[in-house]
Formats: sequence, C-alpha cells, structure tokens
Amino acid sequence: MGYEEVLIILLTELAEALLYGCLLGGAYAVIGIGMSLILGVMDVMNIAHGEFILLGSYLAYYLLTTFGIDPLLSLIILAPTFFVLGFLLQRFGLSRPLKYSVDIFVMATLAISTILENLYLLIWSPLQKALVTNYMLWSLKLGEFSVAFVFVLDFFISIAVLVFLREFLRKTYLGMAIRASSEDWRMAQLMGINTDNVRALTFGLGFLTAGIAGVLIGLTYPFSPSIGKAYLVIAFGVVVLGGLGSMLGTFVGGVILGLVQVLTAVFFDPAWQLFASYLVIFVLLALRPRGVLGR
Amino acid sequence: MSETILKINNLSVYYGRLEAVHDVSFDVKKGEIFALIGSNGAGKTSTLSAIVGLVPYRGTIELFGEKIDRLKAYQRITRGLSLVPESSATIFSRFTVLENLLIGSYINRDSKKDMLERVFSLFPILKERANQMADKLSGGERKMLLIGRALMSNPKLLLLDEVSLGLSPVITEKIYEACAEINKQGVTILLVEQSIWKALEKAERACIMESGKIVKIGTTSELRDEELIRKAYLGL
Amino acid sequence: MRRTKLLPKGKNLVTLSPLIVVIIVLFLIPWLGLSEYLITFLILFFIFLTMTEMWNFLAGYCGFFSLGQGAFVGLAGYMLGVLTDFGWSTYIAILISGVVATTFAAVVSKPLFRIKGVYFAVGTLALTEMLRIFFTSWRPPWASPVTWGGAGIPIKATAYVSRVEVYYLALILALLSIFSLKVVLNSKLGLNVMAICDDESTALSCGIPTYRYKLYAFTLYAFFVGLAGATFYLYQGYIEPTGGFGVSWTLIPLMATIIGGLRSIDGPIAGALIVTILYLQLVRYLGLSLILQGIIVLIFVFVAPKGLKSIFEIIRKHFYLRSSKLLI
Repeated sequence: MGYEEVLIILLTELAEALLYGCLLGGAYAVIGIGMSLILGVMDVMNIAHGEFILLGSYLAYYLLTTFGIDPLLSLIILAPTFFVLGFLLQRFGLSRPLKYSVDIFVMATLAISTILENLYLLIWSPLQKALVTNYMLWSLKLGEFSVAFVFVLDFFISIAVLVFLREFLRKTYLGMAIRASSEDWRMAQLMGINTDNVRALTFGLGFLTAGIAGVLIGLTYPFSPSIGKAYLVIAFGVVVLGGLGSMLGTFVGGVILGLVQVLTAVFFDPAWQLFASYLVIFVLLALRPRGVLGR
Repeated sequence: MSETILKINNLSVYYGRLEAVHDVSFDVKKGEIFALIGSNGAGKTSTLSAIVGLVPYRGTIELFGEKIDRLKAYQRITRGLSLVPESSATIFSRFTVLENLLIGSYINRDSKKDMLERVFSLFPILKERANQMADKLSGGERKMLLIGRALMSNPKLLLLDEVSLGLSPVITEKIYEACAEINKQGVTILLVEQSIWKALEKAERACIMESGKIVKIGTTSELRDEELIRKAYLGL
Repeated sequence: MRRTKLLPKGKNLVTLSPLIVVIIVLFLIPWLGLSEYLITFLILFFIFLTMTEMWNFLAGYCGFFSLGQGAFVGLAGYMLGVLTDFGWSTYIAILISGVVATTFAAVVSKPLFRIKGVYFAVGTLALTEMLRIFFTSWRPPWASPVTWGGAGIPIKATAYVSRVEVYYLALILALLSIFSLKVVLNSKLGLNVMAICDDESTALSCGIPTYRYKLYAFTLYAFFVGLAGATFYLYQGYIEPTGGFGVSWTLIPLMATIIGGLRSIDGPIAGALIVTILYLQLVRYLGLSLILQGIIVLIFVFVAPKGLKSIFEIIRKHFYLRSSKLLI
C-alpha cells in the first residue's frame, strides 16, 4: 500500500473518531448538566449522581425486558417520575443534612450511592446489561461515512435537553429564580423566592437529566453497577472542564471528554479509554481549575 | 392619627455572643418616612435584617398587625415588605438590568408591566440601560436598580439601608428625590442613615441608635430641638 | 523553640495509668491463650482505627473531606505484593509501601489542592477510580497468565508471617498513629493547619505557607493510611482492584467518624470499635453488608450527625433536668 492510501485510511478513522467523540460528548454534557445545576444552586455535589443515572438505565431495562417498552418511549414515564422523585428526595430528605453542613450532605449522598450500587448488584447482578433495540444496529450515511444511529440519537436528544434547559433558565420565572438562587440565595429570598423549593426543583432537574442520560447511555454502551462511579467522574470532569453556569461550557466540556475517550479507544486501546479521560481531567485541574470557559 | 404598620417590640439580635441589638422597640406609621440613625456598628443593619427575616432574633415584630416572627424571609416579602440592601454587590450581576427588575416582580408577575413603567418613570436611566448586563452599571445606577427592583413587588413598606453610601452628592440628591416621590405614591419608608443631617432633613420621625440601643426617638423637629442632639451630633 | 505538650493539662502518670495498663494488656493478649477470633478482631480494629484517626485528622481538623482513601490503601497493598514477589523482606516492603503512598499523595497534591471542599472530595474519588482502572487493565511484563488484571495478585509475604506478628504490627501502627497525631496537633504544624482549615485567606495574609502545611498534613495522612493498608493486605493475603480501590475504604472511617464524632482523637476509638464489630458480623452477607452500612450512615446523618456523643448529651440533659426538678 502506498503512503497515500495509508494516510487516507488514517484520516478517515480520525474523522470518524472525531465525529463519534462529538456525538458522545453530547450525552456526556447531559450527564454533567445535572451536577452543574445542583452545584450552582446548592453548592454541593451529589455523590450518588452516577447511581441515579444508572437508575435510569436499569429502570428502562426493566421496562424493556418485562413489558417490551422501547427505552425512548419509557422516557415519557421515567422523566416525570424522576423529576418528582428528585424533588421529594431533596425537599423532605436531603434538606436537613444540607442545612447542617455540606460535609454531612456529602456523607448522606455517599451512603445513598453505596446503597443503590449494591441494590443494583443484588437485583441485576454484576453482569453487563444493555438496552437492546432494533435500531441499535442501524447506521446512517453521512457522505463518505456511516455513523451508528444511536450516537446521532444521543447527540440530538442531548442538544434538545440542553436547549430546553437554557430556555427554561433564561425565559421563565422559575428558571430565573434558580439562577438568582444560584448567584445569591439571600437576595433571592428577598425577591420572595422560596429557596427551599428552588433547591428541591434543582435537585429534581438534576435527577431528571440523570435519568435521561441513563437511558441514552444505556442505548449506546453496556452498563453494570460499577459504572456509576465512572459516570460521577465524567460529570465531575464536564463541570471542571466546562465551568459552571454556562450551557455552552458544559457542552464543550462534554465534547472534550467524549473526544478524548473515543480517540483513545480507536488509536490506543479501548481498555484505557476511561483512564485517558480521567488523566485529562486531572491535568486540566492542575493547570486551570476554573474550567475551560470560566465561571 | 395614622395607623401603625410596623411594630418592633423588645428586639434583640445576637451574633454568637455578640449582642448587636439590645431590647429595641419602635413603631412606624403608615405613609411616613422614618429614619434609623446611628454610626457604624450601632445595630441599624442588624435591625433591618431582623425585620426582613434574614437573621434570628428575640422579641416580636408586627407587620400590618400580624406577628411575622415565624415567617421566613421569602414569606415576609409577600406581606408587602421590601429591602434595598446597603451593598451594590447585591444586584444579580449575571442578569441584565431588565431581568433584575423582572425577578423583583417574582411574586406579582401579573402586574409587572405596570411596575416596570413606574420604575422607569422614577429612574429613566434604567430604561435606557434595560438590556445591558447589570454589572456594567455605575455605582449610582446600581443603587437605582436596587431600589427599582425592590419596588417591583409593589411593597407597602420599603426598607432602605444607607442609600447614600459611597455616592456623590448630586446622585444622592436624585435618589432622595425619587424616594420622596415613592413616599408620595403611598409607600411607607424606613430609612437607615449614618448622617444625622440628611436623616433629619428627609424623614418625619426618627430614632437614634448607639451600640445596639435606642437613645432617642421622636419626630424630627423634636429631635432637632433637643439640646443633647444639637451638641453631640450637630456640633451646635 | 516550643516544647511540644504530650500530656494535656492536669494529667500526670497517675491519671494515665489506666491507659498504660490497657496498652500493656493489649501487648500481652497473644500470650493469654484467647481465641483466634479475638486476635483477628483486634487486628482489624487496629487497622480501621488507624485509618479512622487519619481520616478524621484530615476531615475534622484540616477540613479536607477525602473520599479517596482507597487510592492509598490499594496502592500500598499492590506495592507490598510486588515487592514481596521479588523477594524483599516483609517489613521493609511495608515501609516502602507507605512511602510510595506518601509520594503519590505528594504528586497529586498539586492539582488536588487547587480545588476546594466538595470538588476536592470528588477529586479524590476520581483519583481512586483512575487507579482502579489502571490496575485492572495494566499487566506488567513479569505478570503470569493468572495474576494481575481483574483477578489481582497474591501477597507472598502472608505465608511467611504469623498472625501474631500481624497483630503486633497493627497494634504498634495504631499506637504510633495516635501518638503522632497528638504530637502534630499540639505542634506548630498542627496549629497552622487548623488555622488554614478555618480560613485560608486569612492564614495566607498572616504569612503562613499554606500549600506547604497542607502538603505535610496530606502526606502524613497518606503515610499512615498506606501502612495500614499494607498491613491489611498482609493479613488478607491477596489484593484485587475492586476491593483494593473500593469505596469501603472511605465508608469505614466515615462510619466510624460519624459514630464517634468529628474532630476528636478518642471519638474514632469508639467508632472504629463498632465498625469492626459490624464488619465482622456482616462479612458473610456480602452485598447486603454494604447496603446495611449505607443505611446506618444515613440513620446517623439524620439522627445524630455529631456522633454518639451528641445522643449521650441529649440523654444526659434530659435526665439532669428531670432530676433537678425532683430536688426542688
């Protein structure tokens, strides 16, 4: 084979990898946005975030295998349920630890994370599961390339979620209330905003986006109980890389992580793809803790 | 003759073991401008914080005849109370001027258009800068934004914490004129001031605080005539 | 030059003698012919105690909430396995494992200290996950087909060391850790670190080199945690990535701290005692045991976030009030 041919193959692989990386990045942005919202408004991280995402995957799995409901359709049931669950959990559960101290809240969410992870182990075993549907194997033709349909689906649903959230935060009174509470919760109270409800609302949104992310990722990659921690780190990475309070930043953060992961898988070794992402997060932390686009 | 809309009874505010306000009692009557005067550390801001519900306190506060001690801050706002804090940093810097005002009408969004008109007629500069980011405003403009934002909820009692702090005399006069106009529109004002001159000039009744306690309370003309006040504060 | 105070005011040898007696008894336990179960229990207790004291030091006194204790435990455990595999003497290997954990802490402190509070906590967790993936995927050139990767590696030293030796190792480690904490907390280092914990910017303006002191505290923590980890794996005989870098290593000191109370030296003793009992009782339930541990933490978070002591305080106040009413 001549150099030209080798170069073309390499470039094609690179282009495909870049494409996949971007598409995956969309899903990662959705993983990260929940954490970003909670962090912005409540100044804490929910350690169980990864396990909440997995809850989405496993519940969709349950609905798929028991009732044959397509995962995307099941989102119609799951999304509002997750929102309500998150709202109630914060309003009547986690608000007390949060008022006490941030550390105690973190302890509580760590406990919840452990409980959930082991519940999944008990109920669904450590073996990997996947949301298997007939469109899993479809691919779309984009000019020269063919792309797996699920990745494109991930991407567009993610964009839809991010855009919806952005408009909600910008245009609606509730959204403004969330932004105000995130910036200065005292002044927000003086506007008549019930900050307890705002915190619960934010948590509900976080849970909701986690559930959506869970379904999306479940369609794309196989999952198992131990992946929860990986999702947590990815969410963390998205927030660190993209900065808080910026939809665009979150999206960019997700894409960076997605790209790193896919490029590592294609050009190095799939076993190390997550490791590479983590390494990038840490290196960037060492250099720029304020996030790529800043807060 | 006019009704009392705010009644403070034996208010005490503690920060840990530090007593910032000790056994303070006074009334504010409907439609008046009442001044709370004192130097730094006298306890004026702590009193306002207690009224609005941002700090824990002992004693009782009655607003429009209702005891509001059990209410949280955001609930007190719905009772017709609004606060303009001392610091200009309390604007929402990641919002535009217009968004700042809109969030002020969170509890009465239906009348936001009317409220906006009212604020714009008081402070035309805000209308000009409506779509600019709030952190681009100058000091005086920020104060105007803070007052405007506080007005958006159509309060019946407006608490103003040192509106003139750090502003030039010209802007200060403008702001006080706006306050007088607001008062004419029927809003009762409780104003906190360090400068006794200004306070006696603008208000109808006042009380003077020192180290957390009230030392004198009465109408401004009574206070002006007081020998002690003239000697201690006015240097006469 | 200040003399470090080891003995708190008012305590002299007489009041300390019960403590000295207890320590002597602990040293004599293996010779008293008591059950194997007790020895095992105490080994685990000492290891968990060391880890809890150190975690409490970092979280309670220094304000660093570390969720990534597993990083240092696993790293030290693997180091022990590798070194003894190559024939190094056991005790030297343990010491070096501690040093390796410390070095790792020093290296990652650069990025880690830039992030505060909650970010720091999750950062340490991310670090641990990184290590877990690393040790699951990496196969060193000398690896045999059945070791390394997800299966883990055996610790050859375990075969050459008796249970009693491990017991003394754990006991001495626990005593050393408590002793060094007492020294550190009363020393310049301790006061500086606590000042930094309270308010870093003020400390900076007082001229305290904050980064350096944080580094000292963090490496001290890593050293003892590493040693404790190495001791544990010496006891267990093998190490694999999921357990070695698992969340248990954080949950255990966390539970012990929440039971015993944050920011104290004797609190962890009570906490570690209870945790060890639970650990041994629940070990047969495997997955369920972690769920139960999580539930216990949740209960404490809601009922007694200050630890058991706060419950005692409430009970004591209740009885005090009642009895004083009787006296009138």
